[in-house]
Order: sequence, then structure tokens, then C-alpha cells
Amino acid sequence: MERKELSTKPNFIVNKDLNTVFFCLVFKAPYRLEDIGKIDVLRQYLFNYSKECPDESKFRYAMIKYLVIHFTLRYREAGENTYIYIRFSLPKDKIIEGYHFEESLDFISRTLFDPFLVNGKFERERFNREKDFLYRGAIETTPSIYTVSFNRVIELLDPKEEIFVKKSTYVEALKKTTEENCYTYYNTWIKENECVSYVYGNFEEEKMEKWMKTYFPQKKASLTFNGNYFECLPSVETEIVEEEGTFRQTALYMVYDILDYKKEDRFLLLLLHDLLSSGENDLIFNTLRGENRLVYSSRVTVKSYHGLFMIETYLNICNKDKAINLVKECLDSLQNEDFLKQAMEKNLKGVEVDLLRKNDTHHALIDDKITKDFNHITTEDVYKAYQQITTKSMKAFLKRVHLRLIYVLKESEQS
Amino acid sequence: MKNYFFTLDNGLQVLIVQDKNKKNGFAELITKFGSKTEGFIYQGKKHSISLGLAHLLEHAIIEESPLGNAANYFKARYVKFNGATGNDYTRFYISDILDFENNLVKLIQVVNQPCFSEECLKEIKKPVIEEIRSYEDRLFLDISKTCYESLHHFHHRWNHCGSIEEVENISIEELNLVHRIFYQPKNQFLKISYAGDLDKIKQLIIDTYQKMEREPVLYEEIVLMEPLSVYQKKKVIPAKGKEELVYVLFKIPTGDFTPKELVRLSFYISYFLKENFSDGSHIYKEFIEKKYTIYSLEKSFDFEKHFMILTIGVFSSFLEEIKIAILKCFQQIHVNEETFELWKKETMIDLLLREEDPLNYLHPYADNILTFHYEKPDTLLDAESFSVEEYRDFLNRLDFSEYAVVGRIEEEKHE
Repeated sequence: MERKELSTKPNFIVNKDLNTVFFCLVFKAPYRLEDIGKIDVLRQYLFNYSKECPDESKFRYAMIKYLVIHFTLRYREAGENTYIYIRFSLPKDKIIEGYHFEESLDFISRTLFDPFLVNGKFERERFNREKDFLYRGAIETTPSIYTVSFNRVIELLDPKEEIFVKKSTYVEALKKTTEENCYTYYNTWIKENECVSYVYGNFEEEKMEKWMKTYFPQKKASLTFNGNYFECLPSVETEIVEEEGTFRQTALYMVYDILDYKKEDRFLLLLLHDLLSSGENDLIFNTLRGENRLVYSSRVTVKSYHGLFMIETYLNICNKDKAINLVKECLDSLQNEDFLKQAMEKNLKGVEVDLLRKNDTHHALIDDKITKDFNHITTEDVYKAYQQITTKSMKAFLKRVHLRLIYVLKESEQS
Repeated sequence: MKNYFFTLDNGLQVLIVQDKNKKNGFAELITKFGSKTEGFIYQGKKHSISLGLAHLLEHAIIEESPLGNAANYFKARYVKFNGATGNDYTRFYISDILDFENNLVKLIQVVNQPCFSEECLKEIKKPVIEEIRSYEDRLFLDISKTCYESLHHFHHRWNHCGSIEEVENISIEELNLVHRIFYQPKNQFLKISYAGDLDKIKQLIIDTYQKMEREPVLYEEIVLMEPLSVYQKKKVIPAKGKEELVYVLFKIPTGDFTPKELVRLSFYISYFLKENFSDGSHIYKEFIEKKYTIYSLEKSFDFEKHFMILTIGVFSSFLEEIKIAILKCFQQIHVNEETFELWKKETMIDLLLREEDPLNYLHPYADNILTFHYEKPDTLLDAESFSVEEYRDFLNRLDFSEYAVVGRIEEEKHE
């Protein structure tokens, strides 16, 4: 198993052109399906109340008083782990009269590590309010064509929810989240946990080092994580499922997997995804919409850790068979050596342009650093890897592309 | 940030913002013609414009340009490009890091020199019709239609796309004529963010328009003067299992405000909404305590030609109670000097940070010109001069007596 070790000493990148300082703290927690609701409620609770501001309006005013520009908590599941990213930005020190950077940093630290507690757990009424808010939000979109069709695809494709999570599973997890188990989760995986930290922007390194030690102290010198989380669904024969729906449009999903998928195939799959859905090639959209005008939009989603990609579109039922055949033809067309070569060259040039664009943004440096550290791939990695891929290896890879599922949610009779 | 605003002899307005640090260029060519444009008188004959024509025209301009399909043309050159139709404007933009000046010329040509054909029009309509069908599956379509209808006497233009029938009936002659009339340079606004030589860009724009040799076309726009009253005071539609909602919508005359005052008013209104309807506000707390809702309140404002629409929305079935509470907020304008000062500070930081990204500077500046006819950007000095007295004065000048209450509520709860 590939393990990686990261130092908990803060990573600094100074950019004196900016008026701001950006922070990112990354915490590692285990990934468990039953925990999926906890982080969302936690975010609501932590970013609306604190010990010194147990009232939402006071908290809101404090955020303005300390000039907190962004304050977010996001997470990403990767294999056995969930990574929790807490990001915030502050204006540089003394940007306007009466503003002191350190006081704001202190406020952020208090907000994160000194939440509003009653009897050693989150306060029930506030907690339930935030939980209800998320619950209602989750069930609100349940009747949409997108949720109904996608949930059925998950049921058919991934019933154990190893890759995708159904809305109903999330709702159940939310229901089981309590002020007590959520506090335990917070205490274990954020408050008492180590984090890898990044600071980017306009600041003095020496001062920042001192501040980070004061406001975000770390007990351990490093953090280890598993960098290898490739996991595929067992192979199955192609399944075709058509069901009656109640919507005006017909939903069509075509899910493909890669037979005998390995870690080395990852960039091949990403390249295939690019050819099908981005840049100049954009084969699926160009075929379904551009050349044949069967759809308004289409989407191709890739799961490169799981050897899967999924084509999703919404159309008139009378165009369904034609659309399915066209998607298949798109994939077949890549077996043509000249066509594939040209498509790959165009795509490589597109990635080169993406690199230029990315490096034109203020946050490119820090974004790349975080991405690299957590074993994700940067545009630069993609560019280098694509340069090595030959038409021969791509054609061999394409032979392993297997249609796993066609799912059709038919439009209502009245439609 | 260096900026230029000028009007060419042909009437085209150009706004350029220069950021020497950015290699990427951005240009948006906006035509002052949108889905709400009613009609025109040309050569003594009255022409009404079908609903959905502006949107179809946007698609046709992209797909039948002198470069062929413009989306494909730009894609092949790694340029980001798209179009969008709004109530009063249609927009086409490019974002390019490789050959901005050349592609800016192409953008101008695409928008100004389409070559529509009968055969292609039939094809272009197909994805547009699919887009309309997708709209009909949206969960909030019924309530947004009802809100629009309640506020507007001329409410037939409640969406951008029109109906399938309306789109099917649009002819090539209509498209050509409407394009000739409304897509004249004097109806256009070009906004650019670019690092290159500004005099050169200006000359390039002049030359490009001159080469197109477009003769001005005389016409008179038919404008339906929307009354300042709401069309219907109250309307409740059945929820049919969807989320229950209550909206209170105000139609507020703004005719006696100068352009500069309107810009300042837009800042003050954002404070007013934040102070009175954000999480933690008195009304929010009341709704939570009385269990009218568990969600944040939706709040927005939008300026139309001679009035402003102010919207407060609540996920709730307590229509009467919510109406009474919201109206009370508008009857007694509450000012908290402490939070006002905090908001002022927050606004100043926001303005300072606009300097970090030319697009954050360009878009609000262009809005000042297009929406308020105020030809200057927002400055730090403007924010510093915001005062409680002026805020109070501006709000006292607003008449909140015209409002509509709209609900989507389960039928058994109807009065």
C-alpha cells in the first residue's frame, strides 16, 4: 500500500502583489458512509455559532468586524479517507485603519476550536435547526428528473454505494446525526487532530510562523495517509434498463467501465474523458448536439480511481436509440489511427493552453501545492502524462472499454 | 487599475480595463436587445417580436456565423466562448490567452455579420426546443412564472425561451430583420479586460466596424410602459408535493433618483436586505421561533427601467403571517449604526479586492453604465462617503406600497 507522509509545519508561499492572505488547513478522517451527514451539519454549526457568539447575528457581525473574506469547510472522500479542507482568507495586515491581522486570525482560531457547547456537546436546538435545514434542502431536490434518474443509476450500478451515494442514503445519515455523535466526530477529527496547513499571499514569513504556532499549534510533526485508493466494481454483462417516468424529458445514461483497470490506466481514462467531453474534440456534445441536434446538453463524468465513466443526457424519447448508437459510434471512431492521433494532438494543445490560463491566476501556485501533496493530479502532471501516451496504447486501452449499463427513464405519456 | 470608457462615432460604447499582470484577455459584446423587447416600427410598419426570438437569435448567431459554427471555430482555437440571453441584453463573450486581438475581431464579426439560412434555422430550433422541454421539468418554474405575472401587467414575456409553438413559428425573415434593427453598433456595448496596448485595441475595434460597413437603420422601438402598480396583489398556486414557498415582492418606483444616486441606492439596498432579512435578523429569528421556516430567507433586488423589484422569499406555508411580518419591516426602517459601519468597512474591503482581478473590476463598472447610466466605477471614496443619514433619506424616498404576495402551498392549506 502506497503511504505518504506530510509535515505539519505550515507551508508558506508569499505573493506581495496580493492584498489578501489565504489559508488552507487539511484534516484527515476515516471515510465511513454513516459519517457523510456529520461534516455538513458541522460546517453549519461551526460557521454560525461560537462560544463567544452563540447567536447567529452576533457571529455574522463578528465575521464582518474581523474582515473574514471567505470561510469554508469542504471535504473530499478518497478511498479509506475523508479529507476536510478548511479555507479562509483575510485582508493583509493594516489594509485599512483599525484592522489588525492577528486579531482576525485569533478570531478564526477561536471559531474553529472553541465552539458553542452545552454539557460537553453541541447545543441541541441550534444543532437540530442546522440539521433540519440540510435535511429539507436534501429532500427538496428529490423529485427532480436529475435526482430521480441518477438515484436509479446508482441502485443499478453500485447498490452497495461504494462509489456513488444516493440522496436517500445521505438523508438517512443526516437523520442519525446527533449533537453528541457530531461533536465526537469534530473533537476527534478536527479539534484534537493534526492538520497540514498552507498560507499564501501578502505576509511576513517570520511573523506568520509565530502566529501559526500560536493559533494553529500542532502536536505531531507529520501526518501519514494512504495514497492509493483504486477500487473497481466487479465486472458484469451489459445491462439495459428502461423505466416509465413522469417528466417532460427522457433521461439517458450510458455507463462504461474499463476491464481489468489498473492504476497505470488512470491517465488513459482521463485522456479518453477529455476526448469525449472537453476542448476542441468534445466528441459526445459535438455529435449529439452539434451534428445531430438531438439534445440541448450532455455531460460525461469520470471516476478515475474506479475505472468508470458515465454519459448523461436528456432528450426526446424518439431520439433515444439514435443517441445510443451515436455514442457508440463516437467511441468506435477513436479506433481510427489518424482520427485518434489528431484528436490527441488537439487535446494536448488544449491542456497546454489550460496550463497557461491556470498560471495566469493568482492562486495557481498554492492550488498546485495542495493538489500535489494530497496525491491528486495537477494540470502539469496531466500534460506530462499525456505527452507519453501513444495512439497504440490508447487503442489498446479502448479495446477494454466496456458498456456496463444503459439506463433510460422515459418521459411521461402526456409529454 | 487603468480604464477607458468611450463611444465611437457609430454609437458603440466601449469599456476597457487594463491589468498588465494578466495574460488572458476577456471581451463581451453586449447588444441592448433581450427577451423582453416588445417590438419596433420600421418603415411605418409595426412589428411585434415573438417571445423566444431573442434566445433563438442568440443560437442562430453562434451557429450561422461568417466563420461557420462560431462555437466550433473558437473551440478549435482554444478560446472560451459562449452566448446568453437576458431580459434586456444578449451577450457573447470570449476569453483567450493565445491570440486575443485576432479573436476579438472574430467575435465582433460573428455578432454583427450572421448568415442565416432557412435550412439551418430548422436545425437550430431542435436543441432550443429540447431546452424548453428541460425548463418544463424544473421544480421552481410554476412559482417564478406566478411571481412575474403578479408583478407585471405586461407579463406575457415571463421567460426567455418562449413556448415550443412560438419558436417553431419564428421565420428567417423575422430573424434577419430583428438582427438588422437591434444589432446595430449604436445598440452595442463592448467590455474588455486586456493587458495589451489600449490605443491599438481601440483602433482595431474602429477598423473592424468600419470594414463591416453597416448602414444605420432607422426604427422606433415599441415600448410598453409597465405601470408602477402590481398586476395582482395575491396569488396562491397548489404545491402538488413540491416545496411550499411564500414570496413578498415589491415594485418600487425609482424615477426620481439620479444615475449616481441609483448606484448608491443599490449599495444601500444590499445593506437593508442584509440587516433586515439575513440569518440572525429579528424577522429571521421570529420565523424560526414560530416555526414558520427553517431556512434562510431569500432576498434579492433588480432594477428595471423606471422601478426596482425587491423580493423576499421564505420556504413556508404561513402566507399571511409572513406577509404581515415582512410588511412591518418595510413600514419602520430600522437602522443600526454599529452594523452600518461594519457593512461600510466590508464594502470598502470588497472594493479594494476588486483590484486583484480585472474581471471583478470590469463587470460592476459595466453594470454601472448599462443599468444605471452612470459612467464611473465604484471607488473607495464612494464607500467612505456612505452615511446613515443618506441611507435613511434614500429609503424614505422609496414607496413600498405596491407589493404582491405569492404562495405555492398545498391545497388543503389554502384559505
